[in-house]
Amino acid sequence: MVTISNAHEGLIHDAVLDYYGKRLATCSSDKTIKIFEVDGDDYKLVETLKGHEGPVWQLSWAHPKFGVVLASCSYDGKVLIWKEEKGIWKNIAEHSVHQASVNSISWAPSEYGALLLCTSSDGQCSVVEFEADGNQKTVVWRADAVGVNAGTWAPPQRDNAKEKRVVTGGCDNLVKIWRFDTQKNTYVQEEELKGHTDWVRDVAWSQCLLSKFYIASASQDRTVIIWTKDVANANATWRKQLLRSDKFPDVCWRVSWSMSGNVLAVSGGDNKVTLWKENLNGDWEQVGEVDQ
Amino acid sequence: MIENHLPNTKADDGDLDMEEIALPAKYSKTYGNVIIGDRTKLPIKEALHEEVDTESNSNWLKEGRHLDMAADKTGNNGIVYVSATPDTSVANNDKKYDQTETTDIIDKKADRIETKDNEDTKLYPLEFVSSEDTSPDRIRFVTGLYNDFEDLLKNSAFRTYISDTNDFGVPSLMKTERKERTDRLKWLLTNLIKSLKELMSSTIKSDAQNDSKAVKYEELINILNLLHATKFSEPDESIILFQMWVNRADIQPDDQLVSDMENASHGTLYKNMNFWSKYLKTMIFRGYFAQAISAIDESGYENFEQTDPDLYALVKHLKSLIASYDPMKFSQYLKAFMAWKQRAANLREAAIKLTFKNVEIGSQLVDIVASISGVDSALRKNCGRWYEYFLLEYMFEMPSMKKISEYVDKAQKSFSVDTVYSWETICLNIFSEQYLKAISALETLDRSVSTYTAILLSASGLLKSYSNISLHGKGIKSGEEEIQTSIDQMIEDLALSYLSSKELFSTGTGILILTDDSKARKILSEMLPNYKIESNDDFEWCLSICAKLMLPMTAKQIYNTQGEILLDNGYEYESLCCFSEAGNTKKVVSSVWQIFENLLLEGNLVDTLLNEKLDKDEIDSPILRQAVSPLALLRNILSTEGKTIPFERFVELIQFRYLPAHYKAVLLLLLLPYFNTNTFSLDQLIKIIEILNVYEKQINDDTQCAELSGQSYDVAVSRKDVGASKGTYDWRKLEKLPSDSMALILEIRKLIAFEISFKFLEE
Repeated sequence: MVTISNAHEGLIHDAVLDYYGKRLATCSSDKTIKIFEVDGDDYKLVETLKGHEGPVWQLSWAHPKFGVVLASCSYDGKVLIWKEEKGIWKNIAEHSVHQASVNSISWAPSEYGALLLCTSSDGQCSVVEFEADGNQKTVVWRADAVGVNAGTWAPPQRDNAKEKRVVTGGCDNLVKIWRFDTQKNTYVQEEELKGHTDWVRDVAWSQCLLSKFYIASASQDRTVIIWTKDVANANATWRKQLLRSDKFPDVCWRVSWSMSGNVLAVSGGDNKVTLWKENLNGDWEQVGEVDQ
Repeated sequence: MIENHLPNTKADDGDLDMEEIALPAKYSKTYGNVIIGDRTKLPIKEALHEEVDTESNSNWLKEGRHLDMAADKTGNNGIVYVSATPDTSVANNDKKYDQTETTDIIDKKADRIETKDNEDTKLYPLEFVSSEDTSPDRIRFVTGLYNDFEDLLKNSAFRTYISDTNDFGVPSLMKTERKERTDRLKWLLTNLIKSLKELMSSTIKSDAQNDSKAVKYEELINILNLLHATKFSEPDESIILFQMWVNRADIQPDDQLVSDMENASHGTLYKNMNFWSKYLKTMIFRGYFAQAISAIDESGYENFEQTDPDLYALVKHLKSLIASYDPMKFSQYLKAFMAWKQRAANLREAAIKLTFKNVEIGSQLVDIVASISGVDSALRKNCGRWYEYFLLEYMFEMPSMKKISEYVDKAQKSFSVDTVYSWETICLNIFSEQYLKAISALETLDRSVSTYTAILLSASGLLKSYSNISLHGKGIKSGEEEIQTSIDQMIEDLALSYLSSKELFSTGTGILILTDDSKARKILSEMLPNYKIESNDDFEWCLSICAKLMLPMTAKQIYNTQGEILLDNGYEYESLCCFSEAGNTKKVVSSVWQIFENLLLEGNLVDTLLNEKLDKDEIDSPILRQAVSPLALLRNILSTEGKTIPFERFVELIQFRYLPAHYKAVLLLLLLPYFNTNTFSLDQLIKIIEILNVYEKQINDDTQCAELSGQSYDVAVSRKDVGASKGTYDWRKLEKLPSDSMALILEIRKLIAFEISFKFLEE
């Protein structure tokens, strides 16, 4: 197993590989972002990006069709967009509509264009569109009275590729699904999924094009809920299923789907990352564990 | 000394490659280097670094620190690291995200979450699911499976492969077709087993240190061998296939016993108690009848003729009895078996009445005869494992498929099942026809094999038994529909897992296209743009798939992505072609201006192909042709050597209505060396004045133009020593240059005034 030591001077908050697994970006409480070039087991630090004035929480690589572009969000309430051209990294845009920490960022499926979803502790979400001519268009909406901890995009539906949806999780213990209303030019709430009894810490919408939609939500109430809905049936409702019948030993912080095989990874306060997969009977089974 | 009759399980199993290969130490209690979780009984992967003391670890947890992970964009991988969440990192819950906080406060809070030691900032790779083994042997195996199962996958033919033959028609033809299809399924299974054996052999050869893969393949072979014996055998094969299953799963006799027998002097084994009590028994009970007879013949048992005539007679009769055991005949004709069993029973009755001088040997032989005549207590006594007991019952009680569940029940009651390795449990699922359980369990061993096994089971109609059961209790779909959906899901999962591996991407694509064209379109339109294109062949393949599935938008996306990558790597012409093919006019134009700028600042074009295409005028695409025209003009101007400048072209370029105005400063620099050389005519000088006037107005009216002009001019001047220098009339050779773009305009005006004055003086 390869490790990278002393990557930052502060705690790491995110570490993401780009689409081809050739670049690794990490961000930290030390307010910096580091870019590593990955070649097999070799990780070479090539750049340290400075620009945020607070801890950097999350990073997101844009689809390669937009070039080598990375977004970062921070406690300073800003989202910065970074681009590499001919080996030189530049800060090419700044998105600063939020009045408090920006907790998560997520690029939309590339079909929609260069759209970035941001969720913030000010209770608002924003989607900023970066146009080819350098202009930005922003849609901001209130999603939660207290704060939004996480948000991500639904996979595009081939039958209705223009219909954009996002899912958010926040301090009101709810998972909410929002649909872009072209007439109102904003995102309107489509579903409110109740099940958690404490803050929702993370949400993940499986990008696997399966017969069902799968959303996973991780909460401070020590549960992970899998929300499913039939793709083919327009009148279907969201079904709720606990990932495990008993509670996790500690807070569930983060959930993430694999692209293939629909494996769900869960990180928890018990210092473990566990891997889960649905079996043929529709039950979720633990298929692996990474321990501290 | 015993020769040529030792049972070699692998060779007997038709696997000649295995002869030289030692089996992995599968019964090791350490289970390789895998740690099994106490509660979950699942393998645990540990992040390998120095252990953190529990006290500080628990402090971490109190501070909200935890092991966190982030998944990568497309595959099955991610990164694991120690982290803390925003609120625990920065502020207490009450004052969280105070909007009035100053940067100072943020800084102080950030200070509080500095790491305590370096361990906190380490990064560890994470695999969501075991990566597909992409060794050449494994790729060959997977590709071979795909080729074998192509017919069944096509339009999901496996769903109704056997039942399709039940339609109305000529009975004899229907029967023939059904037989052909059944044979085809049998062939697929035997070929799958054969391929697994080959893969296992090559895996052991190539990676002798790591036996975990080989153990897994061995388990799969055991399971498939049983499936072969129970559901895919010919009527005359069942006994032999069950023997092969047990003998492959658990090799007997053991090496020590074989070695002892081999080292014994020729013709003296009849005196060796172990020969009769262990070696011969094992040979007979495992069905190695020919080898057993050969061993008896070479043991020197004839010596008993004089010394112990009853024993001699018993050995002779036993030899004759086992020689007449015909597994092929008995598998098919129970009457023939019953006749043989009658002979065995007669010999048992007769043996009881015999008197032996070598009492112990005699007792062992009586025990053997009792066992093969089907005496249950004798059979049980001579087994160590449940599957051995099952085999003995099947061979000697009655070789009937109808009795299988009875034998398995008895075997399970008499012997425990080893659950450390999954094959025994999965085999029990197969015996009890719990195929879904078996498939699920197989999936943990090997996703490819489990999926193709599920396809085989479905194709052979073995899943029909689930047709009236609603699996999830939802009552919407029939059980069979649910199973078919589950199998479709497995196939899709398998294809998706292949799509995350470059080597298997085309196989995954093939599976998707074969099974469901519309689904393939959906998935591939998502996945193809993420496929890492490394060669022209890859590129063409991606585009051919887009063409086949009619995915023009995906093709455009691929062209755009590839265009970006090629541009980044300096392949300017190819990248322009990609953007052009994608219909991305904006990108074509912006890229051309980027190349234009580089040429203007550097003095030459790096991309030789673009040079060549411009030289030969071989650019056919109308969009591209139009876009590169200013570039071609500039190149033409720059490539002119000698005392003159192609003034008309220069004017054409600098007055081009779409030329970004900020390039004009550097373009005007090109003129500098030609002043005071009698190059320009009066008309040309007047034209330059017009150009300067327009440019000056642009700078004065548009601050962005002024700013960018200044920047381009500064960059050009600062890089003049690294830029190309073609000759005397290269502006880079001038010793003194104006300080900025406005100074340049002024300087040119002065030079023009001087030249015009000079011309008047001359006249």
